[in-house]
Amino acid sequence: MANVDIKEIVLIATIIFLLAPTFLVLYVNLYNQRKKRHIEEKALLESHFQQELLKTQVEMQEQTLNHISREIHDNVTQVLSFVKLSLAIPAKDTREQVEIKISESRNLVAQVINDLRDLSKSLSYEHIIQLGLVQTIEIEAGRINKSGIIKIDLAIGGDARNLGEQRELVLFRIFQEALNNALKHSGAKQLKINLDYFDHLFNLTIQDNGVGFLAGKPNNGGSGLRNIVNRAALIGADAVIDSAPGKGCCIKITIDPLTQYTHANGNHDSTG
Amino acid sequence: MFRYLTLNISVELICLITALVCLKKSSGKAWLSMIPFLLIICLTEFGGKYLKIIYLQDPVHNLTNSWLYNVLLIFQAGFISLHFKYLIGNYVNSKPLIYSGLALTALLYIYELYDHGFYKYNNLTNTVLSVQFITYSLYYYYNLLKADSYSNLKYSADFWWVTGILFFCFGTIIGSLFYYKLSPILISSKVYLTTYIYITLNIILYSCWSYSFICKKWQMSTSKK
Repeated sequence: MANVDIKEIVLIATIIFLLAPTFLVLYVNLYNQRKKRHIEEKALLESHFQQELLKTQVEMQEQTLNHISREIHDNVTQVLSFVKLSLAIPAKDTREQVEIKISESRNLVAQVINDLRDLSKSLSYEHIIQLGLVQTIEIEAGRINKSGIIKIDLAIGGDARNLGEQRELVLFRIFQEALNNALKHSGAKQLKINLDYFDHLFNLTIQDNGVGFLAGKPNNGGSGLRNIVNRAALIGADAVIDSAPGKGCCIKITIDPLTQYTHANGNHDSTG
Repeated sequence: MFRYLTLNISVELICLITALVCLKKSSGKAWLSMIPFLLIICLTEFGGKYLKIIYLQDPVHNLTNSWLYNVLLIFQAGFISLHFKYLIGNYVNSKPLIYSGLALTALLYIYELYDHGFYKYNNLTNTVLSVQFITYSLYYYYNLLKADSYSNLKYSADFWWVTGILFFCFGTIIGSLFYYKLSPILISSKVYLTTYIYITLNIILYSCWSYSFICKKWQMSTSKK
């Protein structure tokens, strides 16, 4: 009887002792499964981020090409046509009249050269990398102000610093999207842009004095504003869109530059 | 000399030598502290064996070497808790948990000393300490599972160190629970089943630790490259 008892006790004790290795095997299995899933999700997010980045670059190129095409059509071609006509000097013109016409034409050609030089500095991905976000936005604001379509007030707060190529590219695309919205839909006459650099925070605020819209309504704002929110999330930023009918629209992008956002750190090789 | 080299002491010595070979300054203070800790364990084991031989020659006074292991208990609580503080601290703030555990251990230790004196082993403190270490191990596993970074468990020094402790403490507690039933069982004419169990647990603990020291050396050499 005692032997049977001992056998039972040894058996029970052995089973209990085996609990630890069983737990360990199950744990390692679970760990490996979860990590595999985690790695797959990360790879998926990474690929999504790269796709979005590529899309952003393509959109920027499209916008640049549109701008160049418009400039060539509305400005360069017009001025050069005028110069061509002006240089078709009739035989009866006096020497004095010819000199005036040539001088006017020279001035116009100089203006076209300047415009073409500005055009060559058009806003592309490479320019954002070379010049940085602040200077690129300054150039764009200068161009818009020169056109007289809308008045842009640009204010830079704090010490401007590089936020990372991919972040600056996405931020500039957000700025372009907001600018497009203001120009196309809001009927705004004035646009206030603030870039605030704090120690652990960066704010980009774009405020127009247009017609505004009901920000709470799901269909209001369209895909442009949805893109802004999605793209901000892509670089680990928060986008707050505040608007009401008749009160304009304010878009505020907040980002902590020190946050190591998983998919926005690597260098992007493709220039599109 | 060889009468002191029991299986237990041999395993502990091998672990100490592995630690001396594998752990360097670059491994960090927490890992380096394993060297003095293992040295203390080996010295205690030698001392314990020596005292046992001496005391066996004096059957009248029926003395035991438990007081030496009571001293070792202080070092066990300190070194292992601080190592857990470092390991769990890689994921969350481990200070409140570890310092509370140490405070509880200190209270129990003093209570037991007051209750039965210094010459009887502090069983309660040892059992509660084992429960604490099991809790720390499981909490470490939970944090490891939650963490974003992926490490290959096969070569993870931290994982194997914790696994050794978990096996040892779990076995110790089960052994204590069944002690009164298991202790009378004789395997051979002189050796009890419980002796085999404790030797097996020691072998598991020091094997896991030795392997974790080797993993640490691998980690250090790959991170240098």
